[in-house]
Amino acid sequence: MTAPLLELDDLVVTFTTRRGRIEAVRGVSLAVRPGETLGIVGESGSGKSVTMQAVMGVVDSPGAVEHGDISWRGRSLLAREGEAADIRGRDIAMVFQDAMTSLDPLFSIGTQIGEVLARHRGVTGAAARARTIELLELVGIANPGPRLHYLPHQFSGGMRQRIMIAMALAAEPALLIADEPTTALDVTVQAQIVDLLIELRDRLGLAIVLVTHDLGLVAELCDRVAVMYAGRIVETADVWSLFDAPAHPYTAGLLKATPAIDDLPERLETIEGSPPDPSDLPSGCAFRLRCPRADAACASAPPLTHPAAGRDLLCWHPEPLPIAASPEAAHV
Amino acid sequence: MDRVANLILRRLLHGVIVVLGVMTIVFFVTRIIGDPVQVMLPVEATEAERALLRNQLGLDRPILEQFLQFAGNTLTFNFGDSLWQRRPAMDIVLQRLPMTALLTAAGIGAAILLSIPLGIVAALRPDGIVDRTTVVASLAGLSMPQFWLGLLLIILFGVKLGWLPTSGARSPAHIILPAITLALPSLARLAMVVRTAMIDEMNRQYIKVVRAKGLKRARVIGVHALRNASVPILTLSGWEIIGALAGNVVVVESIFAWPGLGLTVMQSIERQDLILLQAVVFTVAVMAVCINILIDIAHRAIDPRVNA
Repeated sequence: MTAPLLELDDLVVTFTTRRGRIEAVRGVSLAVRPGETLGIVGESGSGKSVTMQAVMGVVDSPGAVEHGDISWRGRSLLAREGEAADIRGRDIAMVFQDAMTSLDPLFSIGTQIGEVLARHRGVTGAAARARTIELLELVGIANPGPRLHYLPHQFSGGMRQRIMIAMALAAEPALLIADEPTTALDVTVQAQIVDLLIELRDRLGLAIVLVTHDLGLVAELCDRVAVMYAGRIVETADVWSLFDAPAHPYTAGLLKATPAIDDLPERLETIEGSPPDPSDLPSGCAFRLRCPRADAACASAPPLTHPAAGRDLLCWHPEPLPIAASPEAAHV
Repeated sequence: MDRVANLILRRLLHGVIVVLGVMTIVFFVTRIIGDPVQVMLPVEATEAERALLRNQLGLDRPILEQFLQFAGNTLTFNFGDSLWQRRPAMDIVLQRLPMTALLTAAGIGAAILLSIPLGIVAALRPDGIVDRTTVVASLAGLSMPQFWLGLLLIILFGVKLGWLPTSGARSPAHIILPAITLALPSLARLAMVVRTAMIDEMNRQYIKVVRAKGLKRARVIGVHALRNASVPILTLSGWEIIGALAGNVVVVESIFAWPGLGLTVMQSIERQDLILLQAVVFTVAVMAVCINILIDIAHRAIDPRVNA
């Protein structure tokens, strides 16, 4: 297997406020390999966005990485701030959820893309202009030349998200982090952006981390999925194994709560209860109070297990995995 | 460029109306508050002397005719001779104007230049030491009457320490105390506005995006956040300049005997020299209009979304 690009090792991100200390991310470990698309799914507040913001070094104040490490091609980003600043925006780029507010309203889109080129590639002037036009064409902005001088408000939401993607790709990153890139867009525009991401990934060989709560999007785009709950990754697996046979009861609940187009039930199933208060998490497994399979054992922290090839799981009482779904389990 | 020229033209036209409005008010107020002749002549003057002066000043003619004459004079910048100095009032104003311009530029200029780094540093660490100090000092600066501040500075630096001159304008050092007195309340207001505007901007989504682009911190703060924060800063800076010219210099120049327009206002009021007072008011009104136009142009340069 190729060496991972991005590795998170037991990452803990906390927010310390006057009202107390909140652990938003509670020991997340994951790896993203070149060319791979990893989905991170979970409810709002599960820590998926904060995890990726920590990778980019843009966690909202007063949040801070308290423990663990983030490394890029084996080198810690947290240990070397200067080097990390060169890597962020160049090797790892991020597209955010809200395209409408993600661009600086006072600078032309040409300037905003150009400053990435100047910062990370030392490209300025006519060369930067030519490259910016190329990038805008790549993301499907028609007639980009004259539009370099346009301000963000002169574009629609979908166009702005395309511009954000062009800006993220400017320095030719190996990894693109997309944090709910389609949530704020119209349904038709969402589909266009998804198609664009697939096209760019295949054309540029990008690795993508897709943060989303949209399981349909995960099925469409991702190779692997990590399911987050209350600041922890509770299950990781390749996308088809996970959809076919979720092992964690939370994953199973999520999938049951998602309608399939050819099999619409009368009522969608829901997961009982609501996400736990991050400042007052239950001991052991954070899902246990909502979990149909929970028992006394769940009050202590579940161990990390590998019930099948490529699958990581944090659960005392997982759903039984069908043998056919894990033919390589014997080798692990 | 055409749009900017168009804007300036329209604002100038607007400005002429504003100045004429101000002058109309000044004209009628000076007629209402008393008879200029009563205060210009000694108490023992005879009725004939009063009638003569009244005739000289044109005060015996119908009020409408006087007003038209006054409006015509205003439009030609000719206000007549100062009653006190017996020479054209506008000459006195133009002679004093550079001193006030210098004091305002030094005082408000220093306030603007200092408030920006101070406000930014405070904003970067809300509730940090610099932030708390700035907020408390700003409140103190805002609550302190300017005349009292000036007197405190005189006592400290003039009397106790003997470091700085406190009266007149004979050397470059003479500007220091009046400029500080003029600057401090403006600095306090501006620093608060810079701080608030920068905190607002630093919390916006686009700042997170430019940080994630890996841009240098200086560019994130000094280019992206500061340009966005500049609109309120610029507006308040304009008000501070106008506020200084239209009022605060009167207090400051009087305390430090700084020979500018503010001192002229005090002297013309003491001597009931309404002609000179009108010339000063006119000049300040024109400057206020011009500064507003400059602020508008700068505003458009900062925020290209603003239309003419």
